[in-house]
Amino acid sequence: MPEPTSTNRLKTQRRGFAVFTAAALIILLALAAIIFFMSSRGIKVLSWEFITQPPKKGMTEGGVFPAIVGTFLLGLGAMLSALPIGVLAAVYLTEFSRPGRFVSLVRIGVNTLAGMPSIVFGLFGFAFFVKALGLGVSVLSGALTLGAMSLPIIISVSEEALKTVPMTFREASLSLGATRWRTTLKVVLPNAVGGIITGAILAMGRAVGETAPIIFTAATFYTRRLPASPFDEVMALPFHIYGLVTEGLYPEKQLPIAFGSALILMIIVLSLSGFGIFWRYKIRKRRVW
Amino acid sequence: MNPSGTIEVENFSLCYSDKPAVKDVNLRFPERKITAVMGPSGCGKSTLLRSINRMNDLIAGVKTRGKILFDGENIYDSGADIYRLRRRIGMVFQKPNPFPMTIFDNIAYGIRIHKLAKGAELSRRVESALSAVNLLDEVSDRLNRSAMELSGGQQQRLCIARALAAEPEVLLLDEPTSALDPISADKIECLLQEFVGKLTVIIVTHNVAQAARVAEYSGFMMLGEMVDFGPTKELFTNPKNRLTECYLNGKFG
Ligand SMILES: Nc1ncnc2c1ncn2[C@@H]1O[C@H](COP(=O)(O)OP(=O)(O)OP(=O)(O)O)[C@@H](O)[C@H]1O
Ligand SMILES: [Mg+2]
Repeated sequence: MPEPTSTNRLKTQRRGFAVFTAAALIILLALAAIIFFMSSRGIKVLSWEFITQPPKKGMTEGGVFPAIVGTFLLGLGAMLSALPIGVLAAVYLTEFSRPGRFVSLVRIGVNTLAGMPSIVFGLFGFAFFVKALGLGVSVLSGALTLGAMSLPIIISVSEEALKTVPMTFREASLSLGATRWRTTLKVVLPNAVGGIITGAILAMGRAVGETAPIIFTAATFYTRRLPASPFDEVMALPFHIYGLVTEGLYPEKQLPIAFGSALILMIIVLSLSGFGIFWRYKIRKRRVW
Repeated sequence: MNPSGTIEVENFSLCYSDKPAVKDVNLRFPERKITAVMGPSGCGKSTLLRSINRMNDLIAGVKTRGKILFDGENIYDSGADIYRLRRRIGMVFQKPNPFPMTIFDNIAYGIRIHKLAKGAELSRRVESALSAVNLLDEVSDRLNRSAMELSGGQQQRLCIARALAAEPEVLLLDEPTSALDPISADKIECLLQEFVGKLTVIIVTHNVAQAARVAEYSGFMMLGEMVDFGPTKELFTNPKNRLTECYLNGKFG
C-alpha cells in the first residue's frame, strides 16, 4: 500500500468534512421544511378573529381562542406544580446528599421517569388525579399530569443550574459558620434561580406541545367558553388539532383549521424555547464569576 | 483556663479515603501571634489548616484521628458545635471568593447568620470591619455596589473583613496572597501585623520570604508530617531538620 501523501489525507479529510456538513444541512432543511409547510398551509386561516374567537358550528368555523388560553393554563399549571418538587429534589441531590444507594435509586427513578412514554403519564393521570383524587377531567388534573411528566427535565435543569454555582461560594458561606441549608438559601439558590427559570420555560415549551397526557385528564374537544375554575375541563391546541383531524363531520373544512392551530402551537412552542434560550444566554453573559 | 484563641494539635492525622494527608501532627499554635506553615506542594498544609475549622467534613470519605483543641476543647468531639466553631475560627482562601452580592451584604453575612447585630449596629460593624482591612476609604461611597466590581486585592481584603466581622478569635489564611499582585500582597502582609495581639493567625504560604516577613513562628511540613516548628528566626538561621534547610534554600519546592 502506498504511503498516504499529505494531499491524499487532505482529500480524505475534506470528504469527511463534507459528510458532516451534509448531515448538519439535512437537519436545517428538515426544520425549514416543517416551518415552511406548516406556515403555507396554516397561514390561510390565520386572522385576528381566529386567534381571539371561540370555535363555531361544531368546529367548522370560528377560532381557537379557548384552546390557546387552555394551552397556557396547562403549561403554567404544570410548571407551578413541578417546580417546587423538582427544585427541592435537585437541591437534595446536589447540595445535601452523599453518594450512596438512596441517591443512586433516586437518579434511576428520575431517568426512568424521563423515559416513560407520555401516554403512560396520561393514563396514570387519569387513574390517579382524575379518579383516585377525584379531581375530574380538569385543568388541575391536566396540569398535574403534565407537571409529573416535566419533573425529570425540571430536576435536571435545576441540577445543572445549581452545579454552575462555584464551590468557592459554598465554602465561603460554610466557613463563616452558616448551615448547609442557609448556604443553599442565601448563596446557592439566588445564583441558580435564573438558570432554573429559563430551564423551566424550555420544559414548559415541551409540555404544552404534548397531547397524550391531557387526552384523558383535561382536554375537551369542543367548548365555547373558558374554564371558570381549575376543576373545569379545557380546550388545548394539541388535542384540538387531534380532534379536528380525526373526528367531526366536515373534514374538508376542519383540516385547514387544524393546520392553522398547528401553526399557532408551533409559534408558541418556538417562542417559549426562543425566549428561554435567549434569556439563558443573557444570564451567562452577565454572570460575574 | 487557657487564654482564648489557643489551638493545640495532638497526635492529629487525617486520611482522604485511604490516602493519608496529615500524619500524627503535634503542635501548639501560639495564641494571638502569626504562625506560618510552609512546605512543598501536596504536603498537607491546606488539609491541616482546613482541619482546624473542620472544613474537611465536607469531603466524603475523610477520616481523622487524634485531637485538635480549641481553647482546651476537642473540636472533633461528637458534641462540638461546628457552626459556632467556624464563626470563632475565620478562614480566607487562596482565590478571593466574595459572594456576588453588595459589599455591605458580604460583610454583613456572618453578622446576620449569627444574629450578632442588626440595624445601626450592623452598619457600624460592617464599617469597622472594612476599616480594619483599610478598605473603608476605598469603598465607602459604594457599599451597595457588587463586590465583584472590586480589584483582586480589594476582594481579598474584603474576604478578610468578611471573616473579621463574625468576630473570630482565630484567622486561617490559605496562601492568601498567591493570586495577587505584589502591591496588593504587601498591603495584606502589613494588615496581618495589625492582628498581632488580637487574633491567632495561621497562614499557609509557599513564599519563604513572606513567612520570614510576617510570621513570628513557622512550621515546616513534609509528606504530611510537621518536621520542624519554632520561632521563625530560629527556623531560618538554624533549621533542626535537613529538609527544612533545603527548602528554605530553594533546593526544592
Ligand atoms: N479532596 C481531596 N481528596 C483526596 N485527596 C486530596 C484532597 N485534597 C487534597 N488531597 C491530597 O492530600 C494531599 C495534601 O493536599 P493539600 O491540599 O493539603 O496540600 P498542600 O500542602 O496544601 O499543597 P499546595 O501547596 O499545592 O496547596 C495531596 O496529596 C492531595 O493530593
Ligand atoms: Mg494548599
